[in-house]
Amino acid sequence: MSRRLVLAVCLSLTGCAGRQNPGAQGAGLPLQGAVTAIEVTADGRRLPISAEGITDVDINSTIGLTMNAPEISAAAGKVGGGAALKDGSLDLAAQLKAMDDITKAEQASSDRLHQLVEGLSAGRAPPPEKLKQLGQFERNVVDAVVKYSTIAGVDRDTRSRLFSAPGYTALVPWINQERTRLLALVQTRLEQLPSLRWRMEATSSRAGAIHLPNYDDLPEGASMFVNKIALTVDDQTKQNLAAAGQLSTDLNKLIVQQGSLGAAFEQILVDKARQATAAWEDWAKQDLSTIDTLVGTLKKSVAADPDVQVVFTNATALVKEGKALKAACAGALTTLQNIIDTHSLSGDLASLTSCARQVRDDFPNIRDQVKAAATSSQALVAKATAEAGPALAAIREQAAGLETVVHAKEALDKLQETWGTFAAVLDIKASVPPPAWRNDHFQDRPLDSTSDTAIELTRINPRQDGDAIFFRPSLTKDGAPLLTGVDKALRVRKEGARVDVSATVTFVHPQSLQDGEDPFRAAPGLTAALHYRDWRSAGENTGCRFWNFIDPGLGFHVIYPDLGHTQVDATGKINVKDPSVEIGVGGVVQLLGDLFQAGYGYDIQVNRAYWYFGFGLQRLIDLGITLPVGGARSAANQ
Amino acid sequence: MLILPASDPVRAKALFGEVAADRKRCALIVFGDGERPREIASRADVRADGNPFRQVVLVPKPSVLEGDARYAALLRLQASGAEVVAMTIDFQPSSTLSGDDATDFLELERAFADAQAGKVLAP
Repeated sequence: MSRRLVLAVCLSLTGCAGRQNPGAQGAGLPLQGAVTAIEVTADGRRLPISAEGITDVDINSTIGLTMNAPEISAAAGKVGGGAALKDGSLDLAAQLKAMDDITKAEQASSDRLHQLVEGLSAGRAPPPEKLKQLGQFERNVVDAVVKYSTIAGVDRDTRSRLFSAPGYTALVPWINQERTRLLALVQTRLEQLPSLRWRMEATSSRAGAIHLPNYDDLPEGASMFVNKIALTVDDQTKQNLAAAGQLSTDLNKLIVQQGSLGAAFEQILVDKARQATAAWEDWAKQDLSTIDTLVGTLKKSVAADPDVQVVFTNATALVKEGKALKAACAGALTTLQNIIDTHSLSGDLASLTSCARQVRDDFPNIRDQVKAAATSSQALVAKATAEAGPALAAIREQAAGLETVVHAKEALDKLQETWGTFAAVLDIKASVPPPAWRNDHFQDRPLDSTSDTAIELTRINPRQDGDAIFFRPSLTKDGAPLLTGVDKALRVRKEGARVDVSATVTFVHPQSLQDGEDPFRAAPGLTAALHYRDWRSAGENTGCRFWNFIDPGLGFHVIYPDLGHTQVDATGKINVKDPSVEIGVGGVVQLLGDLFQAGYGYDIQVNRAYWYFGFGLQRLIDLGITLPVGGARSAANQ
Repeated sequence: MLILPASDPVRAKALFGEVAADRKRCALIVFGDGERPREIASRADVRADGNPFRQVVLVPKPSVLEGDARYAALLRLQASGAEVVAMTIDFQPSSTLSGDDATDFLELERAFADAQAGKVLAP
């Protein structure tokens, strides 16, 4: 039997194929499944929104939020309606919970069986412990059914019939049927319970609390459609253009100073590389040896306090990993220094590879150990400071050494933050800031009249590409949240075609060079390029990740080059005067948004063609990239 | 479902030896010849259908297994009244069923699950 056939048979037998199980979505997360979200785009397309993850939505869309009454009733039954759901021996809340247990057990069992069957089809022998786990999962299903049967009074014959077909093919339809019956009963009961209410709220990372019709008395903002293909120069772009001008001036000074653009960039890279190697050397020579010394001291004090033992263990592990890394990268540092000093790729280049490999392999361990060591060190220092006794006197003396571990953690946090920024800006990984919930204008609704609502993005102002929108439901009692649902995050994007107008720093090269002329010089400018962001499919969180990462653009540019020269003849007469202002116009292609770009254009004032490459300033700022130019920070880097 | 031959003890032992040596599948061994054992085996087979880690063996004549020390414990359980014996993947007795339980789908499922989980019958 082919692998696919085996899987298909297995899926159908376990009852998963095409089943509808309203309780399955987001099982285990509070109130998930109680609200279904769908994005309705400006052109009328309807894209369902997944309950999990961060979902990209278009800047002009409306998010429809549908309340699922059975799920709301189920949640209410479990947390707040216990009394209302009890009637003599009939305990609907307990039945609901027992029913959920069957669903979870059945899913776990089916998933494990699929996993093992898949492995078997691929020729992998199932590990004995996984087979045993499968048995335990299967047993959990039986136990859950027995428990439910006891609570709900299901007779033995009915119970037996639930297993009278292969796999769970008889059980699953019964679960759905029984659940529907239960929820209808629960809903009827809860409608008589006025103290429980339903709340919906939404917030924007930029604009704050968002009005949700039917759920609050916040003012409804004016609807403002964002024209994604309009050529608009906003205030931020104007500021960036001014900064690009300053940065270009600084870069031109550096180019003149170093003799060429290549030498100027080399200087920048060498400075950066020196900083990085110096930081590593400092850590290896000072911090690592400080921690090493500290470990020796701590060893003597281990008996003084159990917390010392924890720090000792963590710091010892850290030193061990640090020394392994230091040993693996010692040769690499020498090679790097050599490359920096000689400006050539020479020396033991293999040492760079082995160091990189070691860093890659060891980094997760070191990160975890630094975090553990820092946390325990901070706790120990706090304790030693608070207790004046002699037991921890040695620790008080070593407080500075323990601080070193904390500094190492801060450096790691910074590294993670930098990577997080890169990943977010370049769309490698979706991330949003934590939500700030601050709406106090709620109009909670009775459970028998929960109403659908919507987030109209066009009414959230200000709003920008990259903003985060959150919504969440809550069950409330007497105005206070009884059960708050998980936050669902949306990320506002300009999906589809858009025109980006942005400031840029360009390195302009005239088409034909005149005698003695510098080949490259920096010039500020503006670009307007057409980009296309891939829409997500229904139920997906984002469109094609690769395309959206590459984010190519095509458009035109206007820059302010300096390609003119004053020409004086032999008699001293000025034949051609260098214009005070030059404007170059032409085309541009961009990659990674506007980060990398190249263009071809014409300087109107001096009638010279040129080509250029350059960088979008906003992306540089977003990425936190600084260029140490001319010994001072440029305006763009502030 | 595997039905052991009643009249050929050598072949029956050989076939049963393969069942005992199978380290991927737990087994429900149903004893007896007649309508009821066949019904029990048929019901157990429903619980094994589509699950490549379960198997059912009908032993119409338990005496074909006599004379092999590996099956002594199994035959003792049968002799003490067990109609069904669930065996783990290590071929250790896991549980027994008889009476109404032996025809109850839920109990058969429970026996399979326990055997799969490696639960062993107390000696």
